[in-house]
Amino acid sequence: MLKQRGFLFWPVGCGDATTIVIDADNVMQVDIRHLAASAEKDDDRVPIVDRLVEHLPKKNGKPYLAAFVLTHPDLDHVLGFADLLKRVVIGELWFTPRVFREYHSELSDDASVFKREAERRVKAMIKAGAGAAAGDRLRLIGFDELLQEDEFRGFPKSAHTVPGNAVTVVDGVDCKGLFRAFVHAPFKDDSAKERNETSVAMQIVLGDDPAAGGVLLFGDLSYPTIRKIFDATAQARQMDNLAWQLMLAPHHCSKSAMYQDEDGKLTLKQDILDDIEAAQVGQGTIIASCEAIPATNSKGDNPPHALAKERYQEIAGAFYCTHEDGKAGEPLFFSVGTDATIDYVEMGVPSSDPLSGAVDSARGGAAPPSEKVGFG
Amino acid sequence: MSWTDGQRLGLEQLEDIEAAANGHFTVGEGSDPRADGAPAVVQITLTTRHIPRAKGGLPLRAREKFVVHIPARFPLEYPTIHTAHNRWTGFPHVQWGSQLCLYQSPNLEYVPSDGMFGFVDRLRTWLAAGALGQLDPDDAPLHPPAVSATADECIVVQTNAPSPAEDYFWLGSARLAYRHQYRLDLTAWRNLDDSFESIGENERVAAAIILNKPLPFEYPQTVAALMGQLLEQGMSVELQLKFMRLFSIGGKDDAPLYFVVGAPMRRLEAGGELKTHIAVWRVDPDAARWLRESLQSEDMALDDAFYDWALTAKTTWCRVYEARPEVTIRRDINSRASWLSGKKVLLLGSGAIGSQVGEYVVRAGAGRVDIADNGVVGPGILVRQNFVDWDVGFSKAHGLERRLKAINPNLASEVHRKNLARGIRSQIALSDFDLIIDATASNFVATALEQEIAATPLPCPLISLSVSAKAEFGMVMTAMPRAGCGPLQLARRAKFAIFREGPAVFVDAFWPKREDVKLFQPEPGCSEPTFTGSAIDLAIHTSALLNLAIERIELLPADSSSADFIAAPSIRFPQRPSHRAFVFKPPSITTDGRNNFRVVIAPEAKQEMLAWIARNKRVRGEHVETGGLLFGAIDESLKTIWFDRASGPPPDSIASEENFVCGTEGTQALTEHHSRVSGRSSGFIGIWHTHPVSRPDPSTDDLSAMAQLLVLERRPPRHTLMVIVGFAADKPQLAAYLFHRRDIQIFLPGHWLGQ
Repeated sequence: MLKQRGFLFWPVGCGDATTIVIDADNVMQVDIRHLAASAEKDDDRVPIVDRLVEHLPKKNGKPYLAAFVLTHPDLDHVLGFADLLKRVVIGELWFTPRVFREYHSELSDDASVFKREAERRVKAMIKAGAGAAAGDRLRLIGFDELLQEDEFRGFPKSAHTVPGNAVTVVDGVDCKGLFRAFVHAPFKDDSAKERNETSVAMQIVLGDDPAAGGVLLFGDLSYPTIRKIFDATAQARQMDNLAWQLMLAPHHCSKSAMYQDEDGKLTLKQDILDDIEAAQVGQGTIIASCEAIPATNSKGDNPPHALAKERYQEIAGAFYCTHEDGKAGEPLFFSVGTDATIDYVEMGVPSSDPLSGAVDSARGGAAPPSEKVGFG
Repeated sequence: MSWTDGQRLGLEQLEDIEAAANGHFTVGEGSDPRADGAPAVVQITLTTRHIPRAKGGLPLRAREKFVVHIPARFPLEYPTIHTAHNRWTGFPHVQWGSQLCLYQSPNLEYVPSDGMFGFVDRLRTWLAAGALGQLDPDDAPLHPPAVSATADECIVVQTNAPSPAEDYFWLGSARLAYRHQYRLDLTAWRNLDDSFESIGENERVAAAIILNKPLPFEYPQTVAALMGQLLEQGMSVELQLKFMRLFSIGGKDDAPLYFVVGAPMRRLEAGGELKTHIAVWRVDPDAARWLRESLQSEDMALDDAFYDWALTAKTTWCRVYEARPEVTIRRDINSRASWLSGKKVLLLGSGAIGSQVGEYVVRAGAGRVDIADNGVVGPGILVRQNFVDWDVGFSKAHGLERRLKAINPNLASEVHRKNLARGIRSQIALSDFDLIIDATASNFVATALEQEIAATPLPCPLISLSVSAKAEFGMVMTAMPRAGCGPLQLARRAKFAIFREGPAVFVDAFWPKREDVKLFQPEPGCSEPTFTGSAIDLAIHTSALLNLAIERIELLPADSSSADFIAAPSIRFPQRPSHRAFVFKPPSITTDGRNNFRVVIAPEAKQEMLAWIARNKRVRGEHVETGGLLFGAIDESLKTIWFDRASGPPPDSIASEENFVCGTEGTQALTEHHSRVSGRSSGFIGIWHTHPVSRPDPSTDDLSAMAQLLVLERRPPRHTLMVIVGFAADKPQLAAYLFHRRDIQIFLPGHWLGQ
């Protein structure tokens, strides 16, 4: 399953678990959400750790993950990490320094395990320098004053990437030509903001030409930060780094990506949709990693939001939901062709046209009643 | 402004679809009409996941957003729809960047009672075709590009456009002829190095460029954009300017300059090659003047003035109406009338029938129509003939020619103001025609034609149309070139057929009893008797009869003829048969051996003689003579003998190997029978007999018999026909001899004549 270069979006309920197959030996996992219930037979959510253990390439007889990226240490992005760490060798961890600022008491068990592992690796990295061994490696993403403190002294600069830069080295190997991650966020000023707004945001291209369009991962960012990303990138005249063929809908298809509360009124920020649409290469696809999206929401509902889905549909060539599209319990797999085109492998057109049924239903039938109708 | 009931219904129908669509179709808030009668505007979205895509198809977003304009008179008027974006600019059937052209023929395709339901269905179908790139599929005609016409004048393109080279545009000129203030016809094209011979006062020469590559689907709306497009196709701005200057020469100050732009953007039929789409840009008179003046001046300011103008000016496109055969399909394609396309037709008579038929023939695309008539248009005939008040006092032939040329100015025609009763061939060369239509309903003309056809067959089919005395019934006779008969003979056969087979209404209509005939004189005392009937009655009959005749021409063998009778539909006579048809095989024609009369032997007559010969051979032996009576008519004016029927030997006849003595038993009754069933057109005309083993020459006995018939009878006929079938035993050979009473009187001795 993890042999062909491409991107996999797993159905893990309302959370993220994205797998990037750089090649048959190098696999990157962005976020994870392994629900205990998902192991049950009738649950269409994937026991992601089990599946990774089953399908990851093996090194020295053990499943091997080249890199694990944690966009931010919320439970819906880290659940199952402890188990993963136990069962899989993780060559390199990518995360934001914000992780070090969190108190264990405010973190979930899995996030705590992540933090401890991160701290262990920092020490190992300082000790070994750039030559730290697989399993000890990490990459820090974003600024934080914390990094000036003593405990980080000697941390190799090559393992620290700040927004506006691209990374081609994964797990100590330069994958230039095969892989390029351009870091957009977190911004320095946001390091103390609400956790969602400190998410790692990246454009990942399985190739070397960002203009060909890759996948945009925005974690749980909302409109202001995404706006800032587009503005900063435009200002730096680096819009190629936002070109996308695939985009993971931020925050599990939350309307916060394009709606803002202004004076108590929900206001559509069409500007960000227009910009996202303009950065689209060809007919792009937006993926919502969440449970099936209801046709409407009530006020105060958590994501996913129907409004967000509608807005995304209006700008993207296709819109898929990990729990509505593809086969039940299977990831949506997008392969990368030699010409950098990204195609949904299971792409098929639903045979029935929902609109046709709707028009017929609205038009009404002309058949007499099929049951007796009594009148008094 | 408030919404009309219809607009509210439209919104309600959209909302009903939304309610059933589970998010796949949404309806946004509507905007009120801006003014009374203005459309209400509603935003809708629909998902497109289910629509299969193909490369080159419309790039569909997962959800497409549209703006629907609901007209005030919805659902009687259909809504229009726009995209909320310009991404589909340049795709077929997307006009002005956003308006979707959903219906090819809204009148047929939009169903008011189905309102928004049908409309949304149509949108789905349109999107599905668009996503597959099949909005202009190869197997359908191409939607012509969108050109926003703003000029007052229109251009009618009459002639096919020149073809550019494969890799280069074509430059030349086009002749425009003013038909009236608002219409110019493009009548000819010339290469640049080839000028028009002469340009009339009402004509203009336009600059013309035929591009070898398409322009954008929507034609440039500004002069700068148009010049940019031409530049892109390889025509430098300098060349454009030079080219326009060239055509500005000689223009008047207030006259615009016309610039014809062709591009390969049309297709006539499925899989057909791309044809040139013609647009005509009207260059403002001011700009034309700058161009003209800049020719004679060194003043660069004039160039600047032109460029300044070009930068801001909108392109004024003329409305173009296509009449080019290469891009149009005639509306009468596959109709009966299409047989007439390009045909050369001689119309004999331009009265009640001819003036109507003439118009049908020209509208069907006949290339030439000659009109033969020597009548004059009087006021009374305007009731039903195809003339106008102004024609009164002019000859009918010229009046009709004017009318026909008003329909098709390119029609070739000639007027023959002739008295056709004096003969047609001697006055008009018939070899030029593909069809002769006898619309005279004149016995004189029929007689003249009959005579001429007897001498030399016509080179083409002949049809004769007539209507009954009250225009309730119509009749058309069609004779193919080798049918061997003219209108008189055909009428005769038609008469026998309808008398024999009915129905009686047709008999009474066309061969009324003398006592039933009431002559109608519209201007009593001083006009020719005619029939009564309206223009409507005539339209019914002439159109139906002409169609039938064309069908006959297409289906009849070259040696056959036909007669079709029709009745106008009438509620008062529900049982009346609407159509009766007869097809006739050619007659045998021989010449009588004595007086050189033409003997026209009907196939029935010949068949009857041969049947009696065969029976005689069987019953009495092949060497025994036989014979019988002949029925028909002898027409001295035409020197023609119509030999219609033959009987067998009357019962009291005596036959041997030496002779045949024709009996008399029952012959009176038989003659009366033939006379009756033929409407008194066929009577006793003579006797036939056989010479079983010798030539069909008259013997002494035969001559004696003739003498007896013509002289000794109590009231002898003026002439008698004797038909001898020689070698009847093996190879029957027929010979006819017409004996005049006078012939016999000369030879007979005086005592025979009672002297």
